[in-house]
Amino acid sequence: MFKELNPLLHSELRLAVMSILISAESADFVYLRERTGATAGNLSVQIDKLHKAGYITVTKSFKGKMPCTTCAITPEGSAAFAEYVDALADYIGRKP
Amino acid sequence: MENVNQKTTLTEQQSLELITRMISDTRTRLARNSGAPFLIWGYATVAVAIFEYFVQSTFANPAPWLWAWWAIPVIGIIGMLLFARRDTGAKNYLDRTVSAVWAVCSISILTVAIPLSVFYHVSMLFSVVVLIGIGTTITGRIIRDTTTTAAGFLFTLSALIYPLRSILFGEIPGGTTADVMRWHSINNLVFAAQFLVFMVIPGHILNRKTNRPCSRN
Repeated sequence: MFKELNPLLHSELRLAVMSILISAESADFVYLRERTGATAGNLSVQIDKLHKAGYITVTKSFKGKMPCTTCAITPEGSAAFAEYVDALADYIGRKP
Repeated sequence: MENVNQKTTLTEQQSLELITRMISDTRTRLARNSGAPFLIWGYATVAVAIFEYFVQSTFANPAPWLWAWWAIPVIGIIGMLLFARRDTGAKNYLDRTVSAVWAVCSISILTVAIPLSVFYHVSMLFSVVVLIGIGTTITGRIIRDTTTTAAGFLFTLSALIYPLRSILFGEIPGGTTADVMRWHSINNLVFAAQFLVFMVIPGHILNRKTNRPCSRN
């Protein structure tokens, strides 16, 4: 029996964001946009979904006079990511 | 960077590839310019130590020039602030750990090296080299860089040059403060050479290593 892939993470942009945040303690919006190549609007929507699921924290601050949104993964997010990778390994390992 | 905006559904293989690519890319970018702090502090120290050698061996009363040593933290802090402005936009636990190591080393110089020098006449250069060498070794271990680790270890070991000089070439000569300072001025050149060999050169090597993969992006 295969484990079900978490639908929230099984989306390209959300998975990219989570992968960046799993290897960096925190990353700002501009960094995430540059590294994923996503549009600001789409990235904003996906970050909001991850935030509402409790997978990431979103902190709004200022860098000088510029607003800065910083995202960081939560323990729930790390656990969900680990579970997702386990499920993936399961799928790939059992595929003929 | 490949755009991940368009596709929303992934095969398992694509998911795994995306995760691997993002993690590897983030690690590479965060490691970029890791050698910069070594270069900032290393060059500042080499320049000030050579300057101190020059004034201490030239002027009749070099004592006031000892204040020039404080140029190292001034140059270093300004350099680090300028470096920090080139923020990558992401931070990881390595940044936090390495910063903590250097904060402890800096505090130790103020709370250990300076009192040892003032109250027990232990050469400040000796204590600073030991502490900075330890900081470099720990940083090398944290970032898993053999060159930095080895340089740090040899840096610490090289502090023995100062007591060895006293043992092999005689104690500090008696006489005026200027005579003692002139005797010490050679140590400033040794100090500059130590920072050049064990901090500046490893800093350049580290930068070359960490910047190389990103040049393809």
